Amino acid sequence: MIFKILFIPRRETTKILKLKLDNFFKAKILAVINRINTLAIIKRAGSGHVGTSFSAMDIFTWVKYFSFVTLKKDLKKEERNIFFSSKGHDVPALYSILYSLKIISLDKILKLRRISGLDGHPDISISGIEANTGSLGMGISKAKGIVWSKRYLKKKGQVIVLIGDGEFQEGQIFEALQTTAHQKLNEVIVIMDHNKIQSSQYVSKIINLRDIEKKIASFGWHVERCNGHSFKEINKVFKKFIKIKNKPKFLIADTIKGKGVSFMEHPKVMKKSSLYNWHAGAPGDIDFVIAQEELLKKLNELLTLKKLKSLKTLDIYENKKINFQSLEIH
Amino acid sequence: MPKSNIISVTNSFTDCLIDLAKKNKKIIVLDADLSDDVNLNKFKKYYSNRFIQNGIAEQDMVSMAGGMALTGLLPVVNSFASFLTSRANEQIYNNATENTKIIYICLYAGSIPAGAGKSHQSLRDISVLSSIPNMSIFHPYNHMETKQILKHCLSKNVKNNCAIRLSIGPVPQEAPLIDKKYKFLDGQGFSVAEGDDAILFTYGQTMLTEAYKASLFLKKNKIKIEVVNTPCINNFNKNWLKKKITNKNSIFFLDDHNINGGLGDLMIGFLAENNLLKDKKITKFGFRDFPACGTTAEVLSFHKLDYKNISNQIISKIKND
Repeated sequence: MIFKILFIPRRETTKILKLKLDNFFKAKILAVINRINTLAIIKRAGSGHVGTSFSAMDIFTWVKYFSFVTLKKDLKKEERNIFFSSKGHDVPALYSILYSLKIISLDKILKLRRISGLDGHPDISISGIEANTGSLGMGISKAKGIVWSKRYLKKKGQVIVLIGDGEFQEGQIFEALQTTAHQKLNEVIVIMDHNKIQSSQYVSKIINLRDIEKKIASFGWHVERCNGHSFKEINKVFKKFIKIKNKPKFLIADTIKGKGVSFMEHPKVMKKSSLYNWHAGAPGDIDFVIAQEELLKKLNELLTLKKLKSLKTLDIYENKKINFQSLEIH
Repeated sequence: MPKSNIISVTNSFTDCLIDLAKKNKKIIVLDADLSDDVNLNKFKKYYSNRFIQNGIAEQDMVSMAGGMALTGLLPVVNSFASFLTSRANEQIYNNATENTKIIYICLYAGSIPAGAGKSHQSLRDISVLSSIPNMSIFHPYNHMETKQILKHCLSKNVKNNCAIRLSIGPVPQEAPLIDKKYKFLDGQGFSVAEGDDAILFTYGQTMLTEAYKASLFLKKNKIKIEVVNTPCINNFNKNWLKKKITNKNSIFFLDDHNINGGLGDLMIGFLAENNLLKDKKITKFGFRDFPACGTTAEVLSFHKLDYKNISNQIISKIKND
């Protein structure tokens, strides 16, 4: 089957970032662009986690472009905002965003899961990655270590960690929930990407988390819950979080695994099949083409609404020779 | 008991840490509620804002230290070796992949005191740490060596993570004295008994004392063995080692650890890789089973690791040559 793997180069994203649009609408466009690029790099690599990358994409988008921005020039500053994902397998989504922010090069992003490229799970040797994660359950503990240090060294900057809902089954999470509250490391902000599916089954079926809000609150945390695909709601919670000083903060963001591609979204998928098929591995060629077309269509709809021209794309199919230099200029 | 061996390694460790922390504000101590056993409360008295009580939550403590190390601090993490290195092993590994530097205090390393039993005795820690590429493992013998090793580990020149095994409990009777001028050199050790009939490598106050006593016992039987204190468990200076084993036909290893994956295995591997094992006869002593519970004498004897058993085994090995 002959098909293209379409990728939206940075200069196109930069154009969007420079537009005078309201941030919520801009975020919508950016999230679709990054879904397109995430899908493209996973397809090109032949493996990666689409479902979790897509459920977390809107959270990533709001954090990285709007609420807790860390630009390339700030990466070595001790006062920067530090954001990382503890579940880690959603890193293709983060790579796409870091690429658009000029933190990761095109050369690198096209080498997802390849030697001297980008690791399958986060590694701090890669620009913009703040902690090595992927082995589940360690993120909150690391975040509280960073918060402790920021206090000790008197350095500003927020510390935000994203966790998964399946990850919530790890015992270390409960150690960290207790100690963070007891040690009053109240600057810690945890976001749960609550997409309801771990690997290929419902979390509730594997090990039911039951009343997570009550559970977390009982450990001494301030808990909020919102729609993890609503930038307005996420923004509102973040603004509230910054003001709360007496407890560490936990946002349960209700999300949809595979968000953005209709046939990858639960619960639709789960109605047709007992297993969620889009947890790991690149989609097959036909599924990929359909998914990409759907995302491109969505992107063009958003652009048309604001009377914007469609964006240029680049075919990154493995065999094509790409002139990196000409693309890196912008 | 000789006067200069009275100070325990744990007290010496904390005193030295307090001293070094004065100059290096990056040193922060994390504890999983086992500070009493290494007298770390004394550190807390000096630097209350640099002592983190993390409760009995070892995995969380190790990852927290990881986060701190990412910001450039130098965490010193304390718990019993058996809990810290195995329960939080994946967290230690994960921190190590970030190429930061963390000091792990592996308290109650080895088999003694043996009263607490196998849940507490640590005989696997070397094997679960030595496969981490940037991890240096040490087991200081006495208070002097403890200070020097801690100083070495905390120095800027050392980039590796360091696991420092510490024996707890009183210094054994008849522990050999070491020269006050002794200077620790990474990858090397020193001999507490000399002899040409064989050489024995060991570490820590328990086993070095047994080995030393064995050398005295063997001397009476006209067998002279060299006993080498080897505080660097997984890092060996090739030239030093080569000199040590020249003219020795038999090499013995005595581990305060399971017989698999301890100093013996690591050094044999190193010698083999460097083609230094030619015509040498090798014998490993160490724990072949879960450690028994009892007094020190009972347990060492039960596992045939007391000086008499060791001596008899050495005699039979040498006579069979």
